[in-house]
Formats: sequence, C-alpha cells, structure tokens
Amino acid sequence: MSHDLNDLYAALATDADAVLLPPAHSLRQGADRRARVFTVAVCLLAMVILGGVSVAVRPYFAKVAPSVGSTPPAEIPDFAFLVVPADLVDEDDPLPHEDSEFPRPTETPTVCGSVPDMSLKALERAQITTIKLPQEEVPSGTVAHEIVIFHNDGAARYLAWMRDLLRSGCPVEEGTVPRIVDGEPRGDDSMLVEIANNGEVEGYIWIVRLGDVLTSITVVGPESLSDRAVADRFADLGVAAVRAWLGY
Amino acid sequence: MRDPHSFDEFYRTTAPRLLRYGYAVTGDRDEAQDLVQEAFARAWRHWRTLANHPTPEPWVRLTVSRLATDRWRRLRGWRLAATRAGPAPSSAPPSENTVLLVTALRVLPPAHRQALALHYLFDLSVDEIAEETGVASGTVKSWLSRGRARLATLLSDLAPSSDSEGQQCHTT
Repeated sequence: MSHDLNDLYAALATDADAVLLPPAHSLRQGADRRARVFTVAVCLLAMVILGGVSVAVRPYFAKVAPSVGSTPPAEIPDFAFLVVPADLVDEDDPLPHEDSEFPRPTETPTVCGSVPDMSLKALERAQITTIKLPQEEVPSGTVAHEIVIFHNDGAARYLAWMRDLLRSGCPVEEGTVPRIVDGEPRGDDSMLVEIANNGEVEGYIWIVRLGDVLTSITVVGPESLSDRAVADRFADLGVAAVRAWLGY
Repeated sequence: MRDPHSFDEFYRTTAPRLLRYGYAVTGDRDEAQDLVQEAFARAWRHWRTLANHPTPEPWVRLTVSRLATDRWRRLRGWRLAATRAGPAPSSAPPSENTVLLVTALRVLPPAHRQALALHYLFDLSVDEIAEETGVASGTVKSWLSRGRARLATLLSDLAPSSDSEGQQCHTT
C-alpha cells in the first residue's frame, strides 16, 4: 500500500466522485424553499418577542379598552395593516396571511431567560405577506406586520423590556442574534433590530410605539430584499396604516 | 436578477471538485455531501453578486471550510430538509487508501486539513493558500509541514502491520 500523499488524495478524489449531488435545478429550488421557510420563521420569531402567546392574551380583548384614540377599538381591522407596494408584490401569493395560519408556540416563551409580562396586552393581530423583487424568479422575502394593543402603559413597559433584553446580546434562536441598530425615530418611541444568522444580515424588525399600541414590521429576505431601505419603507407604510386606523 | 443558467453551469463544473475538497476537510462523504450542498445553496442566494465575482469557486470553497468547522450546528436546517426529502442515495464504499487517509485526517486540526487539501487537490501554492485562508505564508508552511509530519506518523500507525514494514510515507 502506497503512503504517497499524492496517491492517497487521488484515491480520495476518485471516491468523492462517486458521491451523488442533486441536479442544479433541484438544489436551487431547495435553497429558495429553505430561504422562504427561514423568513417565515424569523417573522414568527419576531412575533414571539413582541406578541408572546396570542392564545393566552386574546380573551382579554373584549373586556379591556385600549386608551388610544377617541373610540377604543374592539378589533384590529384589515385596513390597519400595511399594503405591499405594487413593485414588491408577489403575484403568485399576493394576499396577506393571518399569523394564525402558521404554527405558534403553545407555552409562554422564555427569551434569554426572561419571561415577558403578558398581563398588559389587550389585543393583537398580525399578517404575513410574501414579497419579491420584480425581476426575481421566486418569492423570496417576507414582511410581517403585527399590531398589539396594551393597557396601563403596557406598551412603553413592554418596549423597555424588549430593549433591555436585546441589549443583553443573547441569541433568541440558535445562530440568530438580533441587535439594536440606529434608525430614524418613528412614532412616540421606536427601536430598529437587525437580524443576523451566522453573521449574515437576514432582515430587520422595526418596533414602533404609538400610544398604547406597539406595531412591529419585520422584513426578511435574501439579497436586496433584506436591505435597510426596504425595511424603512415598510416601516413607514405600517406606521402610516396604524396611524390612519387610530387617528393618532 | 439571478441567472439560473450561469449558476447551473457553475454548479455542474465545480461541484465535483468541491465534493473532493469537502471530503478531505471533513473526512466523511455524507458530511461532505451536506456541506457542499449547503455551500452551493448559499452561493445561489448570493448569485446576483457572486456571478460577477472573478473567482466564485474559492468563495464556495471558503464557505465549505467555514461550515466544516461547525458543520453540525450550521447544517441543522439542511439536514432537516434532507431528512424530509428522504435519504441520500448510497454510493460504493471508499477504497482502502481513502479510508486510511480520512482516518488519519480526522485527527488533524481543521486548518491543517484545509491547507493539505488545497495543496494536494487544487495544487495551490503556499502564497495562494495563505491568500485564501487569510493567514501569513509562514503559517501555511507550518500547517503543511506539521500536517505532513503528523500524517506520516498516523499513516504508519494505521497501515496493516504486514504492509507497514519497510514502507515510507512520501509526503512531498
């Protein structure tokens, strides 16, 4: 048996050539599918941070009147949510999906060892919409818009809790570390969170407080869909929609 | 716009070389299969910019190297997807020489494996390896020298006793 390294590596190369890989089109489709699953997962992650357990909270909403606006809302209507601009609409999947279509946690989330106080939330609703650039072949990005109404100054307290939590720098999911980055202030108070997965920026979460309402706009996607400018654009749309609904 | 045709051509022409490299740095064909698929999946995600890169293959190679150092955690998603898609097709068992080499390689530090693979599979010079790995040329020389010496010892120990007598490990 030869121990010449050239021969040994040649043998290894020959054996490696016997390994099968998927055809190129299958690999591309798989990669795109994974990217889409990931973006939805990150959007849901953002909702876990902001929204917690919707099942545990929803019974409150009929009983508790939020203090925003002259007439307390009894529900969050469709028109409170952002509308995806025409140039980013995925024509194959143009309509928003309610977050209830996606699996949600069944227990109160513990994020970095901290448990959010759910008792101050009154009402919440979220929509997730697929987005894509006009020239993209496949839907490859996601925007999630969540609206949460609090009472008893809960929105400000919740935002402060999240800010402290995110500044602690701990990952909220394996490989995913959100961090607060600078952004032009919006609403009464706001926070911009960058989502990176294993060092690659995957998207942004804008969290904006308008009185007792917190709204989050999460934009996740590959390449330019995860650009900061895209996130800012959706944040403006989301905040405008909520303001128009609340008259705030 | 990502051009699928140019990506497919790139994949077809470079995937075999990347598989060899992945096998050499991981010492496991199944892991190499995972790593290379993951690296090309990332390449496709960035293909709009990567397609204009003068040397996209080293980009994928570097991705394989980085994934190899922490492959299980990073490949969780891919593994889950692969599981859903069914098991990978089996291939013929590796040759005795390959088994001997990968058994020895698994003992080496990742940096040594990487340097040796770049040298023996891609015929890269010390300076080229230094540029790809982002270290000084002297460091690469050290990796290659120590890697070869360690392999020589390991291969002698691993070889069947009847064959090992009078054998030398030629590590040039």
